[in-house]
Amino acid sequence: MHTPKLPVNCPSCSGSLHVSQLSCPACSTQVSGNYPLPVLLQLPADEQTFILQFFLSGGSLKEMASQTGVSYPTMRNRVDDLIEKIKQLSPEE
Amino acid sequence: MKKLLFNPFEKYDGRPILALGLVATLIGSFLGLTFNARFDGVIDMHFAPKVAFAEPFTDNVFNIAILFFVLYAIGRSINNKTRPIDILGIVMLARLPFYLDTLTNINGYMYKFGEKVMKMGDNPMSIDPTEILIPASLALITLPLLVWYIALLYNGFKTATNLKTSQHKAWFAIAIVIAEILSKILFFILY
Repeated sequence: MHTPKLPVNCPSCSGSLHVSQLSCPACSTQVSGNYPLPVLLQLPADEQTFILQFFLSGGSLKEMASQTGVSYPTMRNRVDDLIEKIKQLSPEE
Repeated sequence: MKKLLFNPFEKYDGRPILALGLVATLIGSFLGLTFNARFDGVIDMHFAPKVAFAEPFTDNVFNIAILFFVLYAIGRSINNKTRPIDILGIVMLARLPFYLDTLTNINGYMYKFGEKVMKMGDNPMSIDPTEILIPASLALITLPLLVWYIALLYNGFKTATNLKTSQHKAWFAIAIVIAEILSKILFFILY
């Protein structure tokens, strides 16, 4: 079955979307509020998959590089770019 | 295919690139020896009447060493994760198109033509225009080979250092110029 893609940006102004409603599929209880999306969920689906793969490969850049058929520097650059992106998305402490 | 020719470094790294670079250097040096070419600068090559056995080999060793040190120093200042093995492999492999340019001097053709032009002196009309056609066509091969060499060098450096900003790109160009100047000084001192 096709899983609907979670929209993370507003289709109108491209701003970051927040969660305003959650519901329980078992009893239909609904919770309303204003919850910002966690940083990882703000990333596009392919980047989320990449982070998950990286985690599952034990955080080994070399293994990830050989699995995806790219060179080690290419993989390291992708991770560095992603780190930079996550830093920008993370709220300042 | 285009990616493999112009940016193999996106897919391959480390030892395979270094091994290929070593093979390219040996082939290039033998081509230099066979077709009497001197690699007297990082982006320079000249034909001679006869070259000694060791000359193309030592030329290439010096050129590779200078280019490696300059690009590695600048690469590290751009990104401290830059690995020496990547830069060395890139420098060695990127020179392959440059070595192929030696083929334009089969039978000393380009050298002899160069000598003929030098002897013309004040009488440039003494040369038959049809005689220029082949050397001019061969000279035109040099330009795409040089572009290929620089493209390989740039793409490899970009991958190895995660090069992004215009300032870093300018640093790459400066690195090539510095390496060329250093190599010219070194060859001037040595020969």
